[in-house]
Amino acid sequence: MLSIVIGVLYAVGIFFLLRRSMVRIILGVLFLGNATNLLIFVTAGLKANGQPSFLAKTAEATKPALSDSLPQALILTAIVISFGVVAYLLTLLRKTHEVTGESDLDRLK
Amino acid sequence: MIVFAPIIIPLIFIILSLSLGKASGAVQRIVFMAGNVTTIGVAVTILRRVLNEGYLVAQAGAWEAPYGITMVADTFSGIMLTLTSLTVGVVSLYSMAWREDKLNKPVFFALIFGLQMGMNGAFIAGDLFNLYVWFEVMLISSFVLISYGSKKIQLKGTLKYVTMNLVSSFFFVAGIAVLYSAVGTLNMADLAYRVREANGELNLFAPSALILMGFAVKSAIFPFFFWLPDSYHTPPLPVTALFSGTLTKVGVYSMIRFYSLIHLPGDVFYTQLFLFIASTTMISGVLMATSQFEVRRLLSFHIVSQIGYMIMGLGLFTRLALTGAIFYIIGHCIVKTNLFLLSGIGYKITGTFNLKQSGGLMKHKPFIAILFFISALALVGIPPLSGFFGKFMLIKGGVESHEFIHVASALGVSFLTLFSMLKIWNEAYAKDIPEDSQTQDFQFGKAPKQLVISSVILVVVTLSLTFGSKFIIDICDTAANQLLDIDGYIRVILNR
Repeated sequence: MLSIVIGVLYAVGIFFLLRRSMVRIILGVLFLGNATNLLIFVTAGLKANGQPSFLAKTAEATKPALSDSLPQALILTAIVISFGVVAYLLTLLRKTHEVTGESDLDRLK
Repeated sequence: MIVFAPIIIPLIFIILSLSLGKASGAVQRIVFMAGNVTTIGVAVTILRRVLNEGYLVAQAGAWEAPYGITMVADTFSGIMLTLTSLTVGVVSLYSMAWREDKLNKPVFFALIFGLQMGMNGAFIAGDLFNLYVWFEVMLISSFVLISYGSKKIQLKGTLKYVTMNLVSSFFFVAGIAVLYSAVGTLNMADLAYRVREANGELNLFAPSALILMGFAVKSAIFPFFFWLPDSYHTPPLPVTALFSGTLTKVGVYSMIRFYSLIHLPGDVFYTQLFLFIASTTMISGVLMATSQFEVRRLLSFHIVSQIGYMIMGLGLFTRLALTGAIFYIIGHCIVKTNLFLLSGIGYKITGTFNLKQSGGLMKHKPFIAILFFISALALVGIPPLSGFFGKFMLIKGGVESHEFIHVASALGVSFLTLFSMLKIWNEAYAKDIPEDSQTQDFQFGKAPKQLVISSVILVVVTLSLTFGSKFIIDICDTAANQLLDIDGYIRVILNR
């Protein structure tokens, strides 16, 4: 179920990146970022017999409901980074719009 | 604990240079140069210690290896640390005398240190996710540097650069996620250990393809290099010189580091893949360069072409070829930066970056012409200059591995490189000043001494690569040997 959502998010993100409008670039980057975060969550975090990596492989998982917490830490870092990058991208696009007066990327030759 | 120093020292100097915003320009500059000198000192210390002790390992927060964040320096990292900090230092010296584009601001100094911190972090990261984080630190500083000044053409270039690199980062993280689910670790030594334990039964195709995509865009290899020539000629020249010498090398470094872990010797798939990438990168870069008449664009396409040689070393994956690739990285970084610095000096003198409009440098400024001549020949690889040894070892390694097609393309590309360098030489140096500019009582500008001095430093380094080649090649050989000795790497980090 979640993998379909990820696929759709990737598709939407790339579709937006390929559009000509500037605002769409930000949307595209946001969608791609979130799709990647979900991908980390699904592939690495949600396993049927997932157990924290600091437990030995041979040890029985002490509690069945305990999940691996490392991917969540990775996601947290990735979210912070993509937040910073999107903030920079917003400023960049605003400045580009100010300097060139264009919002259509194809005319920015 | 010296392993952390290459990260902490630039961080301290970021804070220092930003907090000195109100101080006088001289104080700011002294702090800037002091930061650079300190970083070079630390890098050289690490290189010397690594040569004596083999590996320097530090665990952040004293968490044991596969769980905590590992920082590890081996000879290859030591070489790269020294090389980049030296380049950054020289370019800093140059940028202070550039006097255009409002470069000498505390923010600019802080950004340079930020870039340096990101690169150093990437060189000593022992953990794949940590590597990603340092990539981002480096990228964000470079985003701001490349758009520094916000000229119209620059913003257009920046937009391409930013978008391409962001998308590649997302692919890289996705690759890391899939890799984690397949192997269950992100520590590079543990990763190598588990890949070897599994004896080829792990299917790592998807993660390594995704991660390759991430590295490929950053190191500008075929077919992901189009952002580079579109954006590298736009920022202020010192920034271009800095980027051309260092940024793509970080991508190449990480590729060699990561793929030497999962690339088992004798694995035909990776060998052929990397050799194919190497040849196509070399050829497409150099062919596009031949049609350029803007010096900075021409040199940018050459960066792409020469990345191919470095990847060739990874593809062949023998001791000789890796030694050659590392030596080539050293020579290329210095020479390429210097060619950009010299084109900046040429710009100061003739007032243009366009080859067709410039000329007469040989007649009127013979000293600069000599500097250019040495650097250009070193780039092409005329013996006995630095490019020769790297290419020679690579080609010998290729012949030993019977990869004759790729050897042939490497040799052919050398000739085309020579052609491009001759073009710059003929247009900017040997020919006379064009007639139409002579009529409007044309005058040569003056290049500040400091610009010439920083270029001279790099030429001296290039020459010392020739005279000290035995010494340097020995170091590269140690580095290559360490890269192939995965078991030693695992043993040191995991104590297994």
